[in-house]
Amino acid sequence: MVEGIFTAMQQACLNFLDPGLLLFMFIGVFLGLAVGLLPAIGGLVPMAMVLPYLFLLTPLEGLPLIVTISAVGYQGGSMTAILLNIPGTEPNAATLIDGYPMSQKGEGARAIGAALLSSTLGGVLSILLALIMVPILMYIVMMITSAEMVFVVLLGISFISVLAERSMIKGIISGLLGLLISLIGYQAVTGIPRFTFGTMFLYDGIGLVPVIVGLFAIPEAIALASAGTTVVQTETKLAGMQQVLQGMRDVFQHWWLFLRSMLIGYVVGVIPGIGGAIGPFVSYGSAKASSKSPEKFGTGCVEGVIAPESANNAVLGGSLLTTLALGIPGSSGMAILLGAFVLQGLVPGPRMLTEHLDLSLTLLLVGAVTNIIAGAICFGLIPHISKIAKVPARILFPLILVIALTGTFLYRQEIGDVIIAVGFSIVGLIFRNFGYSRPALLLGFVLGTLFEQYLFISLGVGGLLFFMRPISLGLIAAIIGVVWVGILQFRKGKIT
Amino acid sequence: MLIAITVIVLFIFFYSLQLSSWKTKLLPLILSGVILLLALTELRLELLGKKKVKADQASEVESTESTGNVKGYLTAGAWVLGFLLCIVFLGFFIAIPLFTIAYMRLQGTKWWLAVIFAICSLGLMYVLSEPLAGIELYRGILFGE
Repeated sequence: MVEGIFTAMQQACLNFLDPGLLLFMFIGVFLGLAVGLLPAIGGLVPMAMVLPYLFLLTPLEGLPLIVTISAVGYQGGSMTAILLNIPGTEPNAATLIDGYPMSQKGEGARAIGAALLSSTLGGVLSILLALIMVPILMYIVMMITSAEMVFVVLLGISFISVLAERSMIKGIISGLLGLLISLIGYQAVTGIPRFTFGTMFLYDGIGLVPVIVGLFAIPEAIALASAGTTVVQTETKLAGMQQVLQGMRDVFQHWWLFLRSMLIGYVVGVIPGIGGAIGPFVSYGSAKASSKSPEKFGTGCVEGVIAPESANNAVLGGSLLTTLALGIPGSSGMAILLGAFVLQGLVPGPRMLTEHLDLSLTLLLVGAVTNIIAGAICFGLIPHISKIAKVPARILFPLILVIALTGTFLYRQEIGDVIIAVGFSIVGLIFRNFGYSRPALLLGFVLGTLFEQYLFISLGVGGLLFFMRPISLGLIAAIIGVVWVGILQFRKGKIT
Repeated sequence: MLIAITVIVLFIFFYSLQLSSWKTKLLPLILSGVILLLALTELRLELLGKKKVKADQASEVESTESTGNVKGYLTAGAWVLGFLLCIVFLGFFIAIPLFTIAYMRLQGTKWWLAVIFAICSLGLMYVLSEPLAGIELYRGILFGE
């Protein structure tokens, strides 16, 4: 097996010579940074926008594009958090607690230097950690059969539903609704159509692209347009590059804080469903609690920037690993990546590591390399941040809609898909504003068909007691544990 | 919202009962049954007011945002719906510039900028679809074959 991993690693490195991969990696860097620098858009919109166009690309071009967008968004977002007091993406929210006060004290460039270096290094090191974990995970995934996959899917939905959202019941309802929606169309096991109501269009089921565009891209565009104007109103002048270099030196001076925060981010990323927003806050809290002078936090101290920034990009390594190895996304972005696997004809789950190891390793390497490229670009962009962040909603709203809806049509050349996308945008808006979980619905939808197939294969092979295997029982115990944690949180009033 | 989910899932539950094979109806029945139970539980909790006060306070920010922006959401939603209707009836070639120019003009963008933006958007979509992907864009009910 070790030899196989080395061969796959060699192939993964050779894949970087593919001009298509390099081109779409750079496009991804551009789009990802744009997301971070345009605070109102939200990290998922560009991923949902490019998804319909993936059929034009090979897996080696399309999947790195999605990974890159997901990987670099936080770096741009930290700059707007520090300079404009507006987090570019949700995980950057912890950075503004100390980043913006530093900016007000005239140390904005120092904060940006510290943020960019800790974010870049955090992302790269977390990917290296993920690469080290691959051989261990390969042993585990080779023991997983279709019986276990039934519970792996349920575990993923439980994690996303219970841990990610404030309302546990609404989260579980969302995941199960996703599973239910995936049942529309011909059933693979029997060939009998379900819930099609005689409509030919629904015989093939509801497409993945209209669901993702409807759930993620259009609701964010509507929210952006409803805000009316650009969210960026202020402009901050920056001091020279000396301060930026000072910020970078600060990261090395606080290397232990950096390493600890990076590890926190990585572990949070490994836990499916928690997402990227929590890691930076946990790191910030840990840094403050362990500091000799916690009173300085919140007033503009560089440790308060290094801690969340080291964690926000480190989440990527962990979440990418669980998405590739188990098919359980660690965050909403990874749920969309899972959708991209399906669109590229790949089966999400343990088979990704066993059958497409070179591609999996390529994606991990892409995450590391793009972090470095994005970090370098961000340094070049520092003097222009305020201007870039001021692109108004009146341009972004039509742009997002045109790209998303035209792409939805191109996906299967069905105008019905465009109508379904708009229909799902209503679902997305309701879910967004009433505490339901869009990632849980998406996960249920993506894995629903596979879930049913695994279930009937397992029933056929092992009968009604197909779950009486050690790994299956362990997974059932894990599901019960996750739900139990949710119930405990409910009792404590942390969730509803 | 919960009542709507309950009604829809109840319909799916009874509809699934009529499906022919047990293999076809097994999962829909289990899923809709569980969702029904959960929705009713959540509904009961909300009606009996057993929600924690803290949780209500936590969601206050979100609900204030949603109620405060209802008009904005409805307006933006109407634009999306209008764009969709344009696509369905007139096709992408007319809908894209029409929607882009109309929206940008009403938001105060200068004529020339709106027109250039519309041409660029249409050009990008055309290049991506017809020459690159070899897919003909939808021409609309009125202008299609």
